[in-house]
Amino acid sequence: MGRYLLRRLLIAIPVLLGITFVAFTALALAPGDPILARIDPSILAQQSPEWIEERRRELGLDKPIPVQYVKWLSGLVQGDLGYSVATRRSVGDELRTRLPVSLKLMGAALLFGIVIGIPFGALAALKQHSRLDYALSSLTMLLISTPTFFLGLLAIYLFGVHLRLLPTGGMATLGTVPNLADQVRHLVLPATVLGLRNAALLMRHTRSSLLEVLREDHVTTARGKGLSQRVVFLRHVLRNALIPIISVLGFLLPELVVGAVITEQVFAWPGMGFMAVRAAADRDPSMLMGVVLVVGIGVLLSSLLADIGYAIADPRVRFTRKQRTWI
Amino acid sequence: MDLSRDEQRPARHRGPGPWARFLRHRLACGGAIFLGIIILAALLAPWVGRHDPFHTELEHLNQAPDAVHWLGTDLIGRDVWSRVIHGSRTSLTVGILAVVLSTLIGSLLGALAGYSGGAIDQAVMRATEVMMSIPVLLMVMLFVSLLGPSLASVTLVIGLLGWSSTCRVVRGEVLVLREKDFILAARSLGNGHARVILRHILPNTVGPLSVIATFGFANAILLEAALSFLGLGVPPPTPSWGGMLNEAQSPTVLAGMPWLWMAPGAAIAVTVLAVNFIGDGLRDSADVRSL
Repeated sequence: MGRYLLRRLLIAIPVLLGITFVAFTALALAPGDPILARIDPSILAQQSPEWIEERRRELGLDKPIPVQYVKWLSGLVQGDLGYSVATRRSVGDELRTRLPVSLKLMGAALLFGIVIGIPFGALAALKQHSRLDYALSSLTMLLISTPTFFLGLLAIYLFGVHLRLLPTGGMATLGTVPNLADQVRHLVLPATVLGLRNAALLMRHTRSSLLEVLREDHVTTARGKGLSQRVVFLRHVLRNALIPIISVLGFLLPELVVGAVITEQVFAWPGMGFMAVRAAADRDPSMLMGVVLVVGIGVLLSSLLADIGYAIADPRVRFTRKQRTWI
Repeated sequence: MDLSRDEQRPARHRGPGPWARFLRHRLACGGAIFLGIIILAALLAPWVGRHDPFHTELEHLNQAPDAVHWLGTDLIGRDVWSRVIHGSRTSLTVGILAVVLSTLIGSLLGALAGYSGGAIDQAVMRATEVMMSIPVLLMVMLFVSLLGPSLASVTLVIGLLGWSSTCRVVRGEVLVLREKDFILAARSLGNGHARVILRHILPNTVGPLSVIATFGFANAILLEAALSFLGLGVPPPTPSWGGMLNEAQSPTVLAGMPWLWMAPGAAIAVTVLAVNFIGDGLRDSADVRSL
């Protein structure tokens, strides 16, 4: 276990550096004076040209790109993400306020995906080739193929405009005292729209994982011993089938992020994705660089956690290197 | 002798071949026929569309569907049916070009990594992990923010950044293939490494490659639609399904003029569904379970 963990962590280091390299490339390719993305604009405006030249040398902006990268990286480690070219705000501050907003939406959506996806996937597998199985499989295929924004617009049209059941934009009703019920009502539609695609993906994976375990000899043995269907299912099938789902959960995060970017736009949810779309429209690479860094590191960490969780749950992984499944 | 004859027979003569298995997959055939119709409509768009997709009829703004304008007209009086039909050209062009580009990059890198092993393999695998850690949509947004949105930049960026899954799959295949006797035979005959990879290894990955390219095609269509919806994709007035939904974000259009956004939205969903069905059929017939 120790060796596996160590190797897994060592592999993650070059990937982490690669992510910072991609983020830096965006900064290096950005048009305009790079110092604008590095020094607080309010300070920059008050200083003399000599002082600015001094900082430019300090940041290595007169040096070749590799030197600039190392200088930028050392600032990054200390939490210096620079400044937005378009809004002139600190990228770090902006991310700190936006990230929790997005996490709330993504957390709710993931919970929805797990609660709906895993039980229905198990049901479809247990009733393989039944009408229910075909209906669920077709539905998941339809959900995977429908773009999130179309689903979002349909949900707004149906529940917001026609049935007038739920609010369709923002995190809370403007001009009211913040209260939990209002916030939950605002969360329902975006979290459901974002969660449906994840539910569909999880349903597909749970179904195929369960079908694979159901075919194994130990399940036949358990049935042969005369154990009840319930015990066979819970102790012998479900436990083994859920292990691969751990790695799927690790892989769902990129999907979840992409969905969140779009869902936040549709429902005017003021999170990181909403900000990223505005930054892309404003041609503001320094802000997007921050988003790419946060998301990239988040995805890397979650896949690391998923791999470690998998190795704890399934000892075989520690000894034979298993290829990750592709979604 | 009689017993061993069956052993010597090549595997493909047992049971139906991949083509027959694909044709037996009803949903996949339906998907292929539907995609064929869409491609035909895209090629014949000026005739199928019936109207000029750019022509604005100022006396017919925001008109509901009728016999002349099958799907009504938009905010500046353009025919929606014609724009949906012409929009298929955008989706298919971006999808096909992007997937050709990413398949080319992914299969070459994957073959190189799997065939050479060692440090090259490690480097390529770490690069794919980097690419998989940053969602392609975000990468595309980052580069579109540098290059500005245009049909060319969107296609190029989706194609250049979408190779990681192809690379992983091809590498996995090549790791198995390179140990086979026929590769040793090809090398012994004096073929160079490049020739062995291009002529003997890559042709044997066509099965999994076609599956992954098909799903990649569906993904590229979804990505282009998402980008155009966010206003970062194909810029107006070029008709694009995602772009048409972008114009529907105002509450009045959403509530009062559903013909403006329901048709392009459904067009994306149904096209992607058809492509996904084809991918499913290919996966089952090429017998690649791992995908």
